[in-house]
Amino acid sequence: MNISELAQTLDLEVDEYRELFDLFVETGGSDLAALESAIKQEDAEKIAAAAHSLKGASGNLGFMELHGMAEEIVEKARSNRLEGIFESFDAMKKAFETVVQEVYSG
Amino acid sequence: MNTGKRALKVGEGNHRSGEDLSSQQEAKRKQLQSRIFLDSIVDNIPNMVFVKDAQELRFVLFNKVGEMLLGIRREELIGKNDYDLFPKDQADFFIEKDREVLKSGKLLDISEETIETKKGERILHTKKIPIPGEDGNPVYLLGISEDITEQKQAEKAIRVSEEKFRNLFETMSSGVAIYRVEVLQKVGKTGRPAHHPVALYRDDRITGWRENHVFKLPSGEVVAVYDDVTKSKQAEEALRESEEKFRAISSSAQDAILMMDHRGAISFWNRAAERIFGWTEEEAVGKKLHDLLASEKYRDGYREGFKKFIRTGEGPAVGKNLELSALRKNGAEFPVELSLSAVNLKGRWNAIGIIRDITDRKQAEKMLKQEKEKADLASRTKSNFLANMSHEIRTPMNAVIGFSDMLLDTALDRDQREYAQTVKKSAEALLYLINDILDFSKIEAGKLDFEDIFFDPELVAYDVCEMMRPQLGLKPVEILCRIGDGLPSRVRGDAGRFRQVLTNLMSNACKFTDSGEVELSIDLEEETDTRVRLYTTVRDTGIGIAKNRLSAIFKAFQQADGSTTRVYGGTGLGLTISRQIAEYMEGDIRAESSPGRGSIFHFTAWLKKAKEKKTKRRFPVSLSGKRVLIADDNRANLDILTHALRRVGMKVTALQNSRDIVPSLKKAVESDRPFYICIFDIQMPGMNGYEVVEKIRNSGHEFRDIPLMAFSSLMERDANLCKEAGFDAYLNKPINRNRLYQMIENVASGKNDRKAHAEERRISTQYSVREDVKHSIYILLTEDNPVNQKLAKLMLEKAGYRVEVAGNGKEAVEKYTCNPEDFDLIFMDIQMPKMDGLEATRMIRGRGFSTVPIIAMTASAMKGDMEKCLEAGMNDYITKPIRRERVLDALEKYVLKRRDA
Repeated sequence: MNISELAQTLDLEVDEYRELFDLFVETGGSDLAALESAIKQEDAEKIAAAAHSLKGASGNLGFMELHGMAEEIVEKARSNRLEGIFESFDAMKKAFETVVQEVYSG
Repeated sequence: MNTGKRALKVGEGNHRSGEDLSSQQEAKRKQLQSRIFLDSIVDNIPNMVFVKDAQELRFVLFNKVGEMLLGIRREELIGKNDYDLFPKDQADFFIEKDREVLKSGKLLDISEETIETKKGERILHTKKIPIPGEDGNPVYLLGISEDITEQKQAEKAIRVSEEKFRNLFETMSSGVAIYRVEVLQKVGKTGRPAHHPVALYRDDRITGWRENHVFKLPSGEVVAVYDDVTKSKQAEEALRESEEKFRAISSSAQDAILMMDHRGAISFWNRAAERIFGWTEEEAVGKKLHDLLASEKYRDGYREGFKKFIRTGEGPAVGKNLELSALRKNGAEFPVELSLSAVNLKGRWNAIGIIRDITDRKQAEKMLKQEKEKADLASRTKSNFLANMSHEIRTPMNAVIGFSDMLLDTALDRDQREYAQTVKKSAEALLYLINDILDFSKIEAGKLDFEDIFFDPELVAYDVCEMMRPQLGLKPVEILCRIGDGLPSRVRGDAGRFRQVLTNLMSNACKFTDSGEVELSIDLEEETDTRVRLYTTVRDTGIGIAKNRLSAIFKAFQQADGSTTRVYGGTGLGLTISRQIAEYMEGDIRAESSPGRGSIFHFTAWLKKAKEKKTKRRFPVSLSGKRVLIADDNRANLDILTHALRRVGMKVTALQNSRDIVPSLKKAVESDRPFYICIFDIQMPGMNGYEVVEKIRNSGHEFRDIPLMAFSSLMERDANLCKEAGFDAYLNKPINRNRLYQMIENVASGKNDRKAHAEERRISTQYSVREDVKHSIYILLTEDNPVNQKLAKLMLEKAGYRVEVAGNGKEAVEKYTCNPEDFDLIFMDIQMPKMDGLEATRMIRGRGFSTVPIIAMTASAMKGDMEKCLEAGMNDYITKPIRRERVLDALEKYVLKRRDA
């Protein structure tokens, strides 16, 4: 993923996008932590809230794969289908880390 | 016994004996016999018997009854006289009477005398009799006294009692008659009055009487007791009369009148009640009122209310007029109007109800309502039809105009161009006509709708002027726009209507002016705490209007000259509509004119004040003190421009002749006071702008690189020509001050970097200055996610808007309601902690802020979501992810378009 391409899709300058992405990494990390603890507590409401936050941010920055995964978790939590949610979370966490790595290295 | 001895001695005293013993003995025995006989008589007489000697009046004999009466024993009394025994006045009386008897020798009957005894005073009836001796003179005095004390007392008691009853009898208020039974019988038999008992009444005023008691005395007489009932008779009469009145009223009343007692039972029921409810008085009275009449739905409420009513006389319906429903005998429910009041009778609360059957009224109301609904519907249908028609006509018209425009941009030969231009002009004319007719029909229907929004009158004025230029075509007419110094940058009112009036006046002026100028000037005329009156004039150098036609031009379907329509087109409705709008804005429109010398239209309107925006009207400090050379052959325009530039502190040199420009520049450089910038008109007589710019650029002089700005009344396609000719910037007339300032700044600073960015140099036109407008727009962005927040903020700021961020709904409500006038639009995320976007929107709308556009930003584009947003009071929504086009489109739609409107 090329950062200048990403910036262009949002009509932003590269440095503006970098600033935005830093923020995304920071809040995304805390969203993931909140999500993990919510899953452990099996608190569907908190799961949905944390995943919703991640979903919005990733969608806005154009990470549609991540966006889709977060959306899936939100929907599962909202309809209270918590089976297999940890696996979904795990996959999303990996996808998040991949995105972070790719953007920073690219 | 002692009496006997005394008697014997008396006897001895009376019989002087000379007989023989035996005969003496015989005589003595006989004597004894007779004495015993006498003594037993004396002692057994039931009266007191006493004997006194005639000489000294001392007692010689006293019987047993006397002892008991006086309480004095015989032994104590014999030999004593009255003075020894009684008080002196009594003794005097007795002795006096004794002497009288002895003197007269006759019996004396003393019917009543009182005597003091040991047992108290007694009343005696005494007879005193003289007892003669042998010589015939009285020797003894015999007294016989009967005790009549009890008899006398009884008599007295009777007398007292009789007196008492007599008094009672005489003073009692009842009449008493005593008559013989025969009288009554006689009256009964003959039918004629005889000794009528009423005659016994003591008072003539007595008009009524009642026999209370009749009884028969042992004597055979009849006693009748009568009472005076005059007052009660009168009261009865009055009562009867009032009762009759009341009956008459209640039975002739058209409303049911009924009464309920403290048990909830019906106690009164008039004729109308019978008619209305169907129950007869007989059926209704005594029944529980609410069981009989109340609709099911009221019963529970009634039971509660009744408990309170019987205690206090108060209730939810008491003392009020209520509309409710009731039941008829046949079970039908019908609408009634109930007026209920409470009366306290003998300490108990009763209710009086007056009930009107309002079935007819309700029906009439219903019909009226239906009719109104029908009429409303018809009117709505008509309005809708008009709106639809307007839309339906405008859409193709806009296409016609738009495509004619595009057509005109293509390569056309002269004929084709002319035809296309005719198509466009006709379409435009038709569109105006349609708008006018629509507005006029709305005015007729009182339905011209007015908005209440913030706007900048200066911008409106410039926009209107700009809009006029195409209409003028190639006519040599200058459009001028003069903005007064006092004009506020922000007012509140109907921007669209205000603009409509300016457009109409300007359009008329342009239409009727073939050469010269049309000037729009606007300024503040009057100011209060809350309002401003704006004064606008539109002056032209056109054909003018004859004085006698001046008043006609404001009348519908009339123009200054019947032939005007044929020559100039138009409906003649524009001024009528404008005047209506002016009147709505509590202002006026009037005209002054004379044929051949142009016209001036004056328009005043009251608008509401608005807080000035902080960022607006910022005058560029950088221009202050800079020298500027301007040139225009039009005196008025030169004047306006000079004024505008001086306002920001520039030092202006104004020339009316284009030939003076180059010499002035040269002179300035020579005197070491070069101009910072030079601005001049393109269309100037003698030497036009292109010639001037060529001369400057090719002069080889120091001033050849001076920033040059052109302005022109012609179409914007001049921009390319200007660029080619060597101008740095190009402005359309009329000059918009803010654009002018910004453009001077741009051009002047751009000039410094010109070498560095030589290839990027492009000419500034009015469109690059739209930033100015954008920059005055302030957006409240409500978003909790920091990433989204930052992204949206970046996008908006990059696009030239100013942004305030709220992290949740609560914060948004606070920020907005503190400074509602600051914000032009709210973007609202839906899902947020603390308070979500829907709730926040409801709160903002709930506090009366109905106009600020609120745009939802929602992740899920579900159909129901949009409805929820709209229901909460949002204007629209954009779906996430946040994309520049969506955000800017929303702004374009809800802020920029509205401003331009």
